[in-house]
Amino acid sequence: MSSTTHARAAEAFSADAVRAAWHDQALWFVRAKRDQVTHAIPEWEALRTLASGIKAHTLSRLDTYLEEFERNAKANGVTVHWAANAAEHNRIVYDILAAHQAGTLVKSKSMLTEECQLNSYLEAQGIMIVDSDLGERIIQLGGETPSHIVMPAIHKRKAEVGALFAEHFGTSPDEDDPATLADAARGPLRAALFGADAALTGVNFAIAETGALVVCTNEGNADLGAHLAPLHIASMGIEKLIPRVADLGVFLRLLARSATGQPITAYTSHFVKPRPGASLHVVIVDNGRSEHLGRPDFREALACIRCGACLNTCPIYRRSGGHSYDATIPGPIGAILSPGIDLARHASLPFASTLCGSCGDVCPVKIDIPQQLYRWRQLVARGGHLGAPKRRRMRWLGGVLGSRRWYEFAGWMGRALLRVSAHAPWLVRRTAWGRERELPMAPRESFRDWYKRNRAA
Amino acid sequence: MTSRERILQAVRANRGEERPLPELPAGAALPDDAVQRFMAMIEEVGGEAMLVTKAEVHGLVASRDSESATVVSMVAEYPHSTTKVSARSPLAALEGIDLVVLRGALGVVENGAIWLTEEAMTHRALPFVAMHLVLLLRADQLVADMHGAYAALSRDASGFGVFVSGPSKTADIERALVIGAQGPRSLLVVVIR
Repeated sequence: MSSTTHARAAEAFSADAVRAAWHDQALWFVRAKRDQVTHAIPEWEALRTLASGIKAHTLSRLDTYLEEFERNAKANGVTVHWAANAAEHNRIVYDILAAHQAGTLVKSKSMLTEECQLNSYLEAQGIMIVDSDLGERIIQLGGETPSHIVMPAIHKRKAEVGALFAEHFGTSPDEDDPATLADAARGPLRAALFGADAALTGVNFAIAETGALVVCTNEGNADLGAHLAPLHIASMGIEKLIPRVADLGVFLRLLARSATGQPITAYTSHFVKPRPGASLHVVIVDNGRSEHLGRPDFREALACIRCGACLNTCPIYRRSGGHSYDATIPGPIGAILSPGIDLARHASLPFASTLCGSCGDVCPVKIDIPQQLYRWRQLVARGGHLGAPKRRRMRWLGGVLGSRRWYEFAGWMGRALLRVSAHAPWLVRRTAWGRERELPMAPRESFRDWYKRNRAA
Repeated sequence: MTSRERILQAVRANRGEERPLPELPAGAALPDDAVQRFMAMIEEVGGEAMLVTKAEVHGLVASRDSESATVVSMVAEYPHSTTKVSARSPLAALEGIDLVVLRGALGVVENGAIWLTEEAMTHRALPFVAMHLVLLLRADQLVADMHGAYAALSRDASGFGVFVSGPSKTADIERALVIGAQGPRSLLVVVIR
C-alpha cells in the first residue's frame, strides 16, 4: 500500500473542474452559514467545552452507561441487542425482520448501516429496501455510496439527479429544478413509508438515565417510517451514549448549527417506549469502537457527533470529494477514524490534509483533529506504509532541514529557480500548482541575509 | 461469552481514567421580547407564526381549513375533525390527511422548536403525515433555550416526544432548500396571548 491512494482518487474527482469548483463553493457556503449562526451564540465556546467534557466523561465510564441504558430501555419495553461487529449487526437485523415476517424495510439516514453494508446483505436475503431520506434515495438509485455524512448526494449535480428521476419516477429527462425533483420523489417515498413492514433508523443520542433514543432529521422520513410500520429497529454505535436527558440541551444547541447552520433540525424525536401495538428494537454495535477506545492518543475521536462541520471546512475534502477517502466516513474525521480500522488500506488519509487546523476549530466537541492526523502520520511511517517515493522524499527533506549548509543552499537554489520559472509556460500550464495559482516572485536574498545586513551589529 | 459481555469487557479494559462529568448551565432568562423573537425564529425556519387571542383561534384555523377535505384536530378550540384518529388507528386512517391541529407543550425561543407530547399527538405519526400542520401554544409556555426546555420537561412516562421546528424540508439536491419533503408542506404556529 502506498500513501498516494487518496491523491489518485482525488485526481479523478478534480478532473471535472466545473464540478469540483461547484463542490468547493457549495460546502464553503454551508461553512459560512455555520459561522453566522454560531457567532450569534455568545456562549458558543463554553458549549463546546461542555460537550467535550460530557463526551470524555461518558467514554471513560462507557461500560456503566451502556448497562444503565440497557436496563432502562428494557424497562421501557425496548428489546436490546448487542453486536460485536458488522456481520453480527446484519445478522441480528435480518433475524428481527424474519421473526416479524417483514419483507420490506424503509431506512432513514444511518452511517452505521453504511459501515456495516447492511443493504447488500439484506437484499441478498430477499429483503426490499427503500432508503427514505431524499439524498440517500438518490445515491441508492444511482448505485453509489454517500460522499458526505450529512449531505449524502452533495457530489451529484441536479441534472444527474434529474436523469435518475426520469428513469425511476417518470419526470421529464431535462427536468433539473430541485423543488420539482424533490416533489416528484415525495409521492413514491411516502408510498414506501406507508407500505413498509419495518423501519430502520440511526440514532443521534442514546440516553443512559432514561433508555431513550434521540433522532434528529429534517425531512420527517425517519418518523414517518418508525411511526407507521409495526416494527422499528434502531442501530447505534456504542459511542452514542450520553448520561443525562439534560445533556441534550448542550448537544442539540451545537449539532444542527455546526452541521447546516440551522438553529435545530426540523424534527428532534425522543423514542422512549414502543408505539402501542408495535415493537422497538435497538442494536448496539461495537465494530472496532472498543478497540479504538483503547488508544489514548486517538480515543477522543469517538466523541464525534457526526455533524460534518470538519468536512465542510476542509480545503482538501471540498476539492477532492467524499469518495476519494475510500471509507464510510470521509473528510478529516474519517481520516482519523479509518486508520484505526485498517492502517495499511487507509495509510494515505492522514496525509489528505494541510494541517491548517480548521477542522479542529469548527468541531463542536473539540476533537483535536489536526493533532490526531499528525500522530497517525507517525504511525503510518513507523508501520512502513509510506510508499517508496514519499519515504525517499522525507529522507531527503530530513537531510536538508537537518543541516544548516544544505538548508541555506536549498533556499538559494529555490529562490533562483522560482525567479526563472514562476511564469514559465511549462509550470503554468502543465502542473496543478501552476494552473491553480499565481506563484510569487522570489526575493533576491533570504531573511537571514537581510537580517545580517540590517540588524546584526 | 456473549457479544454483550465481550463488548462490555473490552470497554472496561480500554476506557482509561475516569474524567469528571461537567455541571450543566441553567437556561438563560426569558428576554422581554420573547414572543416576537420566537415568532421571528419560526419564520426563519420556514414556518408561519400568528399572535392571537383565545377567541380568535377558531377563526384563524378555520381560514386555513377552507380547502381541506380531511381534518384531524386534537384541540378543544377547533372541534371540527372530519375523521377520528386514535393511538391504534390503522394506516388507512392516517393517509391523505390535509390538516392536523395539535397543542404544543413548550416553545423554545432560540430555535423556534415546539415540544409535542405523545398524549397531545394521540397517534405519533399525526404531526408527520399531515399535509399542513397547525400547532397551538400559549405565550406563557416559552423558554429561552434548550437548557431551559429540558429543565421544564417532566420526565414522566411519555413514550414519545418530539421538538418540531418548521415544516419538513430538504436540501439534498444541490443544497437548494425545498420546503415540504416527506412530511408537512407547511407549519402554522398559533401563539395565544
